[in-house]
Amino acid sequence: MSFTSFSFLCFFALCLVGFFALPQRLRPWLLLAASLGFYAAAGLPALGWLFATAAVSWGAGRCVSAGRHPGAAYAGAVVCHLGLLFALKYLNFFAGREILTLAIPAGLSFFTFMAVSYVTDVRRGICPAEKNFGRYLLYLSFFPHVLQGPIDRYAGLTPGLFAGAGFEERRFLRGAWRMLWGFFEKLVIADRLGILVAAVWKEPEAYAGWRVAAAVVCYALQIYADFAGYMDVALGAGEIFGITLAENFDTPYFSRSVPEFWRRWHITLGAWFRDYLFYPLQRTGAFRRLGKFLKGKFGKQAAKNLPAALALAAVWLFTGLWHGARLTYVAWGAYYGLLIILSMLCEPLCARLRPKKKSLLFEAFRMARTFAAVCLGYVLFRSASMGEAWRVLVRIFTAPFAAGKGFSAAGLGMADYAVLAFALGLRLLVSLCRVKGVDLREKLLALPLPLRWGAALALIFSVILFGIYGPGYDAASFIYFEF
Amino acid sequence: MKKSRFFLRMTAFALLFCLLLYGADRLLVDRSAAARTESFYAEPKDSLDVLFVGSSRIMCGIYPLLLWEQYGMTSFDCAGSAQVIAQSYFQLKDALNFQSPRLVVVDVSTVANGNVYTGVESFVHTQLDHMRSPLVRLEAIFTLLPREKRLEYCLPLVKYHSRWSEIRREDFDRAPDTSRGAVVYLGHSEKEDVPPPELIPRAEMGSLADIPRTYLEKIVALCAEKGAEVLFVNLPCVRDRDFQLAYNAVEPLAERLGVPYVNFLYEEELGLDYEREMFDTAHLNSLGAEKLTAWLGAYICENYEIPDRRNAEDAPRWAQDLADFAGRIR
Repeated sequence: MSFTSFSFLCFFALCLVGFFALPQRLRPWLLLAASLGFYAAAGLPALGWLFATAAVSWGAGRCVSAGRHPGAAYAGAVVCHLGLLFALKYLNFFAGREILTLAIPAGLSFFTFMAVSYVTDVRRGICPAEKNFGRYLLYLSFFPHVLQGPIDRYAGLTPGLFAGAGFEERRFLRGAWRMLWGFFEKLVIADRLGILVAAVWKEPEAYAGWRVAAAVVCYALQIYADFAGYMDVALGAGEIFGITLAENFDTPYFSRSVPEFWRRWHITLGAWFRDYLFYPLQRTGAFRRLGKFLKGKFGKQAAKNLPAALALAAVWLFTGLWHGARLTYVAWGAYYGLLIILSMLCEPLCARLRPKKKSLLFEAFRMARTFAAVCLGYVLFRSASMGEAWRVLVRIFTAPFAAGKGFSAAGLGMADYAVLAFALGLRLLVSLCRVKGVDLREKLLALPLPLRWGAALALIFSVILFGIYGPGYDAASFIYFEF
Repeated sequence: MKKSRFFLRMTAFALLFCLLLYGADRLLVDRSAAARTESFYAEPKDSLDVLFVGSSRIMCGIYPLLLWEQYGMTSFDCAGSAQVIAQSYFQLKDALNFQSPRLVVVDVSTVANGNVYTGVESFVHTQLDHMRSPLVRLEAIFTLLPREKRLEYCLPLVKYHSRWSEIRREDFDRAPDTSRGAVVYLGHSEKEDVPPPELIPRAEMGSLADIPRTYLEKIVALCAEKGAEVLFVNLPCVRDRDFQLAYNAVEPLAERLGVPYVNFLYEEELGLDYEREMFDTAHLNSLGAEKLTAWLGAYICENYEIPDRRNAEDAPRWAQDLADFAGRIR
């Protein structure tokens, strides 16, 4: 069930009514039933995989907490989870032929990572093991995050998740505003840009290189509006129920370096790899021995950098693969690995070259440079094959001003571009407010009622009228005399 | 107290939202074919004595204004493009909320189509988007359409929302349709030649699919309930054997239901010159329509008690519309 479907709106409205009508202690159970129903809409076999994942990690957590073979239980659970992920998502890719024909359950990568984070946190003593399976199942299956994240940690999410908070007007309105904004980002911005991007990607040779480059920038804006929009709907929904989901974005395109970008983009995924792969790798005996060896042979700096670079290489290889079993994702991960390792190695030199006084121009340059690097990465990310990515890159760099189709041939009309200009302007304004620490929703709630309602209705009708959804209208099909 | 004030405010907001949503829906819905539908609703209540329901063959083949001129009967073509029998049933059900005709003439030309709605979506929208009886409209949507299509018919804005950039003055300034639902085709289509039909023997017949048969029965039951008589017609066309088998299969059904059936394929008395008087293989042109209208009017007058309203209070309006219409066909 897509967040932008009419059935989701009905489902959510029913959930809301049921949630606040029930006594507090029953509310989490309603959320569990709703979440399982929501997930079951993706297919019953998928629900089976979710149950299996929950049962394994919950059982392992219980064993670890009770001290019954904790090491084996932990290792067994991690192997099971990652093994299942590998088998369902990557086996055919690595084998180069179809070995398994099972459908990949929706949100598998997300709930697997949540399950691994849970057993690891229990093992590390960061959070207690959950005694009640139903409550644990709710943590994994909670409908706002089960399909696309955020990858919430058990300790962070569950206090709100199990509290069954009562109705609170301010929280309800803040959540509703956030959901509405998410719909706007997804339907008005992302899906409209998607039309242009798909058209250019389909035949890059038909457009001048600069137009292809512009389409890459559009893709950067599209994927951000799409993913951040989804997150806003998820976090807004959680907020209405009094549940705080982890933030996944922090105005990432204002980042001044690639490492900073990854601290502000898909934050929960980056944090997962940091906490459950990067640091544990660095703490392994092999890495420690390597560090000692390097320190003796090449000095302190090498002992610090080389193991870190190796761990980063592993992290980025897996980050690329996590996004899907495709060579372009691996290449995309390798590209970021390389950029981040280089930026780590060059940081001392760069720090010396940077102007001592804070310069707005220089900061803008750094942001533009980072954005350009991110866009280059998107060429790989968006392409279905390395050949497709190559065609896009070749067009950009070898025929920047060649003759070709205009953007009017890319499926959008002048009115669409006007809507995009308005919507992206609004998006930029919201981002700037966030950077400046202005709580826009609080400002909106403080407005006099007519203005508040006016703003809400304007946003709602922007989504309804300017959103890309539904079967589409073709005036030609209505020409009456075509019996 | 605070909570109830909040819910009151939310209710008011929801009402305002619904009002604006309805306004946007009506503003953006495609109106290119709305004039005909709206002209039906503009007719004074219970002023029409005969309703013709069915597909485009009705619109092109029967001219209600000529029926008024020649026989004084007030009638209307309540038809839609490629409209199958099940759709006609709902169109009639809606129409009967506004008119109490003495006779309903049902076109069976789509009887060979075993579906509940035509495959051309825009035609279904044209029929349902402007329907004025909300309950009939909902019943039609939930009966005829598959689940995944219902939302866009219940709330046409789902389909038309992107029309905001195409709204023009003409959307609001369309001239009203005064031809009583008729559509005039002059001359011949360049797309196809119209040879005379190769008729199969009248007694040779196939079997009717369940859906059209059931809906023909429902039409008869509905008319009986409303006190209207029914006449089945199959207008002239050039169709292959399979279609003709279905047209002939209406005969025993009509007999069983006690409804007269005029199959114009076999009505030699009409004397239709297919090459000259058909627009294409399915539709009459104005010459054919004039001929068929005159014949059908005489048949109706002979077999049904339809009052002559040429001296009624509304006659000047009909006379004016007739003058305009005659200018278009002659």
